[in-house]
Formats: sequence, structure tokens, C-alpha cells
Amino acid sequence: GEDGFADLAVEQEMHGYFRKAAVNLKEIIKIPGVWDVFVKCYVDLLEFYGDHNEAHQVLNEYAYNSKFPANPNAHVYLYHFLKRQGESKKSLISALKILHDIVPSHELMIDFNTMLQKSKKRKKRQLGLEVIFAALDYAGWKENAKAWSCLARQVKQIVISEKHLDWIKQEWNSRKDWWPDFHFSRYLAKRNWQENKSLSYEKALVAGILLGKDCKYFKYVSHQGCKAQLKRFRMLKKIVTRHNPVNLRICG
Amino acid sequence: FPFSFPSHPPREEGGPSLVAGWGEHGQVLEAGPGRRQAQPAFVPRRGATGERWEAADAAAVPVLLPSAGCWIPSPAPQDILFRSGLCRKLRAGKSGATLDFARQLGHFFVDHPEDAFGSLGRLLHKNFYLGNAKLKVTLSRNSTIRMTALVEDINRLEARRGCPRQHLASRLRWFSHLCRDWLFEVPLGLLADCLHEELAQQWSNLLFDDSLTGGALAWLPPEDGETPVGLLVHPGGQAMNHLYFQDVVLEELPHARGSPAQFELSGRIRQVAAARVDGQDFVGVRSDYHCGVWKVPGKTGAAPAPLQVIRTDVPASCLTVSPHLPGELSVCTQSGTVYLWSIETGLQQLRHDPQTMFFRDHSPWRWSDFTAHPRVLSCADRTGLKCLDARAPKRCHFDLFKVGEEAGCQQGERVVLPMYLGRAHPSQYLVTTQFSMYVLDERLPLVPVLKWAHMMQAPPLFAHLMPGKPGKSHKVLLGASRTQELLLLQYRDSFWDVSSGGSQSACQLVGTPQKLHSISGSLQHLPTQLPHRHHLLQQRLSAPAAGLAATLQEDGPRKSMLIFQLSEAGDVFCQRLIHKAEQPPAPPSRDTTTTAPGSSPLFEAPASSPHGLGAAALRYRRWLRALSRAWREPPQHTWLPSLSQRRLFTHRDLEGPAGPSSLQKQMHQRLRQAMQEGGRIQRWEPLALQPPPLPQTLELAGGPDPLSNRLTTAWAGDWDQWWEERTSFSVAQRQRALRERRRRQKRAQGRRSLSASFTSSLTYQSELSELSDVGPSLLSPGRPPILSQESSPPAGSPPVRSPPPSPAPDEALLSSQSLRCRGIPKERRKTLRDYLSVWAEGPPEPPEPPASQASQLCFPSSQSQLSSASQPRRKRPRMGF
Repeated sequence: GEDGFADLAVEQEMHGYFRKAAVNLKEIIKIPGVWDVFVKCYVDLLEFYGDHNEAHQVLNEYAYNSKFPANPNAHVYLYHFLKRQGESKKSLISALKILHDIVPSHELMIDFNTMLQKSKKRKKRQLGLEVIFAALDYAGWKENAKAWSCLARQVKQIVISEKHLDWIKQEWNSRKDWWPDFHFSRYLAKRNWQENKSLSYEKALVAGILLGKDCKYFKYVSHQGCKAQLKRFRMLKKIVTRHNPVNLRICG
Repeated sequence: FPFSFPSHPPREEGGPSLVAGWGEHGQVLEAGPGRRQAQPAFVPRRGATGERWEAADAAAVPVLLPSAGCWIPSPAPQDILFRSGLCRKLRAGKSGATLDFARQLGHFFVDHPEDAFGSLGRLLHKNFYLGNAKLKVTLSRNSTIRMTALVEDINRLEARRGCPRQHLASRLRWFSHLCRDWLFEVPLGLLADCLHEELAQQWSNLLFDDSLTGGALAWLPPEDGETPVGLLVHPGGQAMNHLYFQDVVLEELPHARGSPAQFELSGRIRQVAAARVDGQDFVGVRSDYHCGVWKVPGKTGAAPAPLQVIRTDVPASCLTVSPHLPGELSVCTQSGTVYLWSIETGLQQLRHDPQTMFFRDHSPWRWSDFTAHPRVLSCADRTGLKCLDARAPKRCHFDLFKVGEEAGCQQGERVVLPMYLGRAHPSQYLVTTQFSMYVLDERLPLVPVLKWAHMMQAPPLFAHLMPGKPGKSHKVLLGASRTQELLLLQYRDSFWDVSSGGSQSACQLVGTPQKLHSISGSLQHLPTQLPHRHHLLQQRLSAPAAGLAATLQEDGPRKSMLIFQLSEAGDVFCQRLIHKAEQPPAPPSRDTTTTAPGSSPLFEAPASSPHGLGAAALRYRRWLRALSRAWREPPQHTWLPSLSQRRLFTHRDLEGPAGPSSLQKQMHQRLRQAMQEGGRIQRWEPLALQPPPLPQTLELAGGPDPLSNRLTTAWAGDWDQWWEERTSFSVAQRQRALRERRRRQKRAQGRRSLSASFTSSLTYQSELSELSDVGPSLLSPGRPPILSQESSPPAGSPPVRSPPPSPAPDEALLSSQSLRCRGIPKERRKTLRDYLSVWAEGPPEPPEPPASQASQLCFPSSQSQLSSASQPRRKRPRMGF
């Protein structure tokens, strides 16, 4: 009886606060700027009170209004909101596509790539390859084993199926003059082998396919792997040797 | 970090904020441990707790011994600016500096006469007669004019330079009007334009020299981190055109090991940039028109190898080395061109735009650096930063930073130094302006993730990053050039929370920014020096800083930071900061008050040291000894100062035989007396025979107690006289003085007869007294004949007295006239004069030239010649013709 009444009063009071806060936050968020904390809080409030449409609208406005600075967080919030709402793959992909355009080096690119790789559409899978290549361009991703395994998986898939080799060729063309020094130097091979064996495995696979079996990185890592009698690395050598002609087609 | 994003030029300070400060994280207070905050937490811009670093020594300590060659200081304001009493009066009202244009032009004419008047000089030299004798009646008489008087006028002008009573002779004015249009090889107007431009440039360089941006000092840490031997790359030599790679052992005090690898370059080294790629260090070196790159293999002891050099037509303003790819650099020139320079493929032009990017600014300074993407370069000018993709520089670019309201810039704020902070966070950038430092994230361009007003006096031209381990703060050192300021800042970068899908928060400055020792700050800790040594040392130590490098050292639980600072004189100084474990933050204990020279903690014996003196003090001892050795070596190209009387006196002045009138004699005597006592002559009343009482202050300066009196006289050299004065009564003394005077007169007459031979016993002092003898006659009677002390002797040094006057006013004058009278042949007169001028140098190294202060007003040039004989000559700055 009374407890319920008190709860109701508290609830009403809270609701009053919510409305007050909502009005203020809405006004502030209208001004072009970076309002990450406020937007997050506002969306939390709206979601709590079940006003998903308004939340969606706020996030859309925050992400797509051209008067605002290009804020990657806006798209991240939108993506997470859509994911929470169980929206379709298509809308998730379109949200991440914009994030990819703004910040190709964003963490979510791995999710994006996995999502695209699973897609049945050829275009999307090609985009996936593009995304992971672009992410690995950045110095911050140099030693990200997850990203390298994504790339290795997709490249391996393409090479084994021998379909869409031109996708790899297209991506590789703009990178072949600097990726070897940037990713596949002998110094890095040594260091990666010492620090992270699985990273060096993934990288060696990519290097072997892209640069052929004479590539310094691949040679060093496979040699070390065979010496250590790791089965994985013997397989690696086999794959690369078998598909070496592919490399000629990529480079040619 | 909520932040409003207005996009318009900076507003004036104090304008209304858009949301009245709502959400600007500058005002957020840090949540205490007791207060709970909802997620996401508000993060204040500055956290209270940072790592504490304390200086290990009281001052910066020299790392290397000073180089043997003498250092030529760059032009100082007093070399370029016009200074005279008249001008100071004129300038009192208006602001802005007056450049001494005439003096520099004069320097050019004197130093390069061939270039200035070569051909006309050759054409006319037959028609101008410069000798003393009367023109002979010859055929050439009609075509020859006698220029002797004019030359004498010019010489007199030279001798009286700086004298406020100087008036142009009408003859000179007439001559310059007549020949201004045709005499000069280069048209005077053109020459003057060029000179003025150069002077203005020098002056602006003096105010702010951006050619040093980036700094010319690099530290290459050891590859494995085990051996404590790193490589210090620094410029040196007289013109800073030698590049040294010096092994340095990091111990308690870092010290050089072995002799450095040395390369001689063809220009002054402005910048040394270094980056480590794949275990190899690449060192880029920039001078004005050349850039070069060296490779230092990772192994210690391996010799550095030069790889490639490029030459630019326009001075280069930036050289940075890629941290991603071996052998890649970026170069900017002052014409607004940005190149990507690869050792293998050569230069690739990325951008060419002589205009600045966001709004118009006159500065030709450009900068460029690398970003997280090895193919994307940033390029900067004073108005902001842009990022370009090297694969398609025309199409793919975005604005990273703009001086404007977006970043909350002030009016007049300009970019001074951008730096890629890749070693701390792959996508972060440091931008310093003269007011603030900004940290930018290239994923969220235009909006700084951290802004802090650094409050340095001069704009920070050097920056150095020491990345911290994950979770720890990164340290940024900012250094200014002219003021040698050093500032240590710590910041923590954004917290990446991968599980939540990457939420990004602003950077946070942690702890208090800390001011570090500057090189010139060590002066107060050094032992007391002789005044001129002190001055030289001060000049040396306060030379503008030219570079900055630092390294973190972890020795088990002890962490320390070594900071190297390079000065324009080529000195490398170092200071160690020691990390203090978590302690309650104490108020900064550094006292900046000046300690008495010589009594500093640096030179006090620390209790722990067994040798009695700290290592730092020993290091300073050695450095000072080496420095004084370098000073003592006579500079190779100084000429012996010669004193020519022809420049001082007119023909008529030297026609001495008619003895001075009694009144003149009296005046001479009074003047001499006044000069000797360092006093002043208030009025030239011939009747007032007693000199007016000296002002009280002078009495004080002489020292009231007998000891300092005695010391003062001993300093001046007539200590025995003082003793006699003290012992004898005044009457006896006066009698003695009279006797003495008569005796000296006699001796002088005897000497006169002897002086025809070359065994002249004239001394330095009689030479000086000659000057003071003729002094009054140079003053024309029409002007107020008030002599006053121009400057008081520096405190602490005893007041300087002029040497005792010579007794006879008609002392032999060494004019050509009188020498001729004595039958000395013409060709020998010069030799004699030179010989005497060598004598005039006096003792080899008097601590303070015994020059009368009062006479300086009349004979500035002669006095300065005398006094500079003992000091290394300061080079007159010449414009770069």
C-alpha cells in the first residue's frame, strides 16, 4: 500500500528529472560540437524509458549532420544502438561502411570484415578484403594478430578457390612498393617469431602468397617453424609452395 | 570530452561562450575516491596525480668538453640596432626598433672597397691626390685635385664615431651630394634596398628564428637496452657545420666514450632528425640548402654511413624521418613545396603552394611529418595542418588542425611546431603554438583531444616525446630557443576500451607541468670569475638553445630521465631527473632565487661523495678549464690594433709648437685632475681654482675604510704614493709634489732630446696622457663643456683610475709633423707609430682596461681600441653580401 505509493512518488520524481534532463540535453546536442558523453547519456535515458525512435533519431542526427565535425564515435554509438536493437545486417553494414570511410583504422573494422566475409554477395566480400587491407596499412595494426588472421583466412580462401585473384591483385598493386619493407622485413620476421608465433604464422602465410616463396619473411619463419617441428608451419610451406604460380599472377 | 564545434575564425577573448561553459571539460573536477560517478565518467582535463620527477643536480652539467675553436656569436641586438643618445631620445616615443642601417652600409664600403667602388676608383685614382705635400706644378695639375682634407675629414669622422657632438663636415656633405649618383659600382639605391631587406631579416631572425625548428640534437638509444651506451648526434665546430656521432655512456653522469665520428658539411646544421626503423637508425640532417641522410646500424660501435644528399634552391625548413619505412624522409622548402624523399626512388613532390592553407600569413615556414599511415603525410604552415595521401596528394587530403575557433585558438596564435606522437599513440599528434600545446587525434581531426597553455616565454621550437608504458603517462618535453626554457609535461592518452567497441575519451594532462634547468641557469652555481671571464662565460652559457633530446633509463626500481640540451655555441648540457615513488604531492621545492655565486649546492661537498666534491662539480671544473684554454689561444685572424693619430687630430691640432696659453694649461690640469679622480667639472670658470667638492656617492664608491682605499689605489698602480700620502703631512706633501713636478719636467725635456733616436722610452702611460692632454682642445668652446661620468664602474670591482698624468703639456707629440721636424724620414714614421701603438697595448692581460671613464665621451674609438687589445675581438656582424 504505502510502499507502493512511495515508490510511485519516487518514480514520478525521477520521471520529472528525466524530462528536465532530456529537454536540456536535446537543446545542447543541437549545437554542432562533440557531445559524446551527453549523447550517450541521453540515449541511455531514452532507451530506459523505451523511446527507441527518439534515440535512433538523435543518434542519426549526431552521426549524419554535416554541421558536426566528422566524429567516428557518433557512428560507433549508432552501430552499437542498431546492434542492440537487433537491426538487420544491412543497416549494420551501412553504419560501419561510413565508419570505414572516416576511420579505416578503427577497431570495429575486424567485426566489419568478419561480417562482410560471411556475406554471400561478391561485392561485399570484396569490400571485406579492402577493409582488412586498409586497416593493416596503419602502424597501429602492425602487430594485430587478429587482423592478420582475418587477412590470411580470406587470402587463403581466394587462392585455394583460385577465384577473384584480381581482388588481391588490385589491393596489392598500390601496396607492393612499401608493404614488403613495412611488414615483411627480415628484422620483423625475427622479432615476430620471438614475440608472437601465431602472428608470424599468419603473416608468413600472407607474405608467401603475395610475395612468393622467396620472400625473406616467409623463408625465415618457415625455416624456424620447421626447425621447431611445428606441424602448422610445415602445412604453411606446403600451401605456399603449391600455390606459388598464383603469386606470379598477382604480381604480373 | 564534450566540446562545441563552432567553425569560424578565433574570437576575441572574453566573448560569450556558446553554451556558457556547459560541458567543457576544463571545468570538470576529478572524482575523489569516495565519490561515485556514473559511467561514462567525466574526465577532467588535468589530473592531480602524476609521476614525480626531481632534478638530481642543482644545474645542468656539460656532457662534452667545449670545442677548441672559438665560437662566433650570432649577431646580437646591439649589433643591428641603432644606438646613440640622439636616437634613444627620438625612439622614446615610438615603439619598434631602429636598425643601424648606415653603420652596416659603412661596413660594406670599408670591407669590400673593390666591390663598392672598384672601377671608378681605378679610373679616378690618377686624378685624386691624397698626399700631404703641396701639389707639384706639373702638367697633370689641371686634372688632379687634392683630396687630403677630405680624407682627413673622413678619418676624423671615424675617430669620433658615436660622439653625440659629431657634426658632418660641410665638405663631406658637398662631396657626397656631388658623387652619390656615379661613384658606386652597385647603384646605391639598389644596394640600400638589399641591405635593408637583409637587416630586417636579421632582426626578425633575432626576434624569432624558425630555422632551428625541430632542433639539431638527436639521441640514438642503444638497440637492446642492455648496454648503457647511446649515440649522441650533434653539430659542432665554429660554424656548426660539423656533424658528430658521439658514443655516450650513461652512468651517473653521462660521459663521452672514444672520439666521435665526424663529418664536415657545407652549411650550418639547422636540424638533426632521427627515427629508428627495423633496428636501424636513420638520421636526417638539414642545413639551409642541403639535406642529407645517414644510416647508423643497430650494433653499437658500427660506423654511421652517409646515404644521400639533396640540394634545394630555396632554403629547406623541415626534414623529418619516417618511423615506418627505412630510408624515407619528408622535406619542405620555404617556397611551400613538400616532398617525400625516398633513398631508393628519389624525391616525389606532394604539394606546392606558396600560399598558406587556411588564411593568409606571411611566413614561408613549412613543416611536414609522418602519420599513422606510412603513405599519408601531414603538412603544416603557420595556419594549420593538413594530411595528404602520397599516392594521390591532389585528391586525398583532410584538415587535421586549423588555427581557429574549432580548437579554441586565440587571435594571433600560430603553429610553431607539429610533431607526430606515433611512439605514444599511433594516431596522435602534438601541435605547439606560441601559447598552447595541443594533442590531436587524426581520427577526430580539428578538435584537439588535449589543450594546455604552456605559458612559456618564447615559442617552443623543440619537442621530445618519451612514451610511457601502457597505463603510464607519456612525457613530452618542450624547449624554447632564445630563452632556453625547458618544460616537462605528462599526459595520458585516451583509454581504448576494445570490449565496448572502442569508446574514446579525451587525453588528460597528469601532474603539474615542470620547469627544468636551463643552461644559463648554471652560471649562478659556478665559482666566481674575473669580470671579463664572467662576461664571456655568461655570453657562452646564455647562447640560444639549438636542440633537445632525452632518454628514459630504467635500472631496476630506479627510473631516471636524462635530458640533453644543445646551445648555439655547440655545448651539450645534460640534466638527470629521478623518479620519485608515490608520495604525497609536495609543493614544488625548486627555489629559483639566485644563490650567491660560488656557494651553490653544486659545489658543496655532498655527504655521500667520497671525493669531497660532486661529480657534477668536477665535470664543471674540467669544462671551465678547457673553455679558458680555448679563450687563451689567440684567435688566428686578429690583427694587432694600431693607433693612428692621424685619425684623431686635425692638421691644425698637431701644429703644436705654439705653446698653450696659461689658461689652457690650467684647464688641462683641471681636466686631468677631474679624470683622475673620476669626478666631474661642473663649470669652466677659470677663477674657481679649487675643484668643486666631489659628490658624496663617489666617496662611498672609493670605500670609507683605509683597507679598501688602499686596495683601490693598489689596483690603480700607485700604491706607494698612497702610502706616502698617508705618512706625510699635507704641507710636506705639497712641497714634495712641487719638487717632483719640477724634476719630471726636467726629465721630460731631457727625453725630448733623446726622442729623435729610436730608443724612445715613451710608455703606454705617456701615450695615454697625450690623449687626455689634447682632449679639451677638441671641444669647441661653443658647446657646454660639461664632462660627466658616463657610466659608473660595475659594483664589486674597484673604481678605476686613470694612470698618473704626464707632467708636461707640451710632451712630444708623435705627429708626422713633429716627427718630420726631428728629421725622421717619412717611410720610417709609420714604423715608429706602429711600434708605439704596440706599446700602447700595455700589459698583456689587464683584468680591466685602465681606461678613464670620463674620457670615453670624447675618444670612444681610441679607448675601445685600447681596451679590446686584451679581449678577444667581437666580430662585427657583416651582412651577407
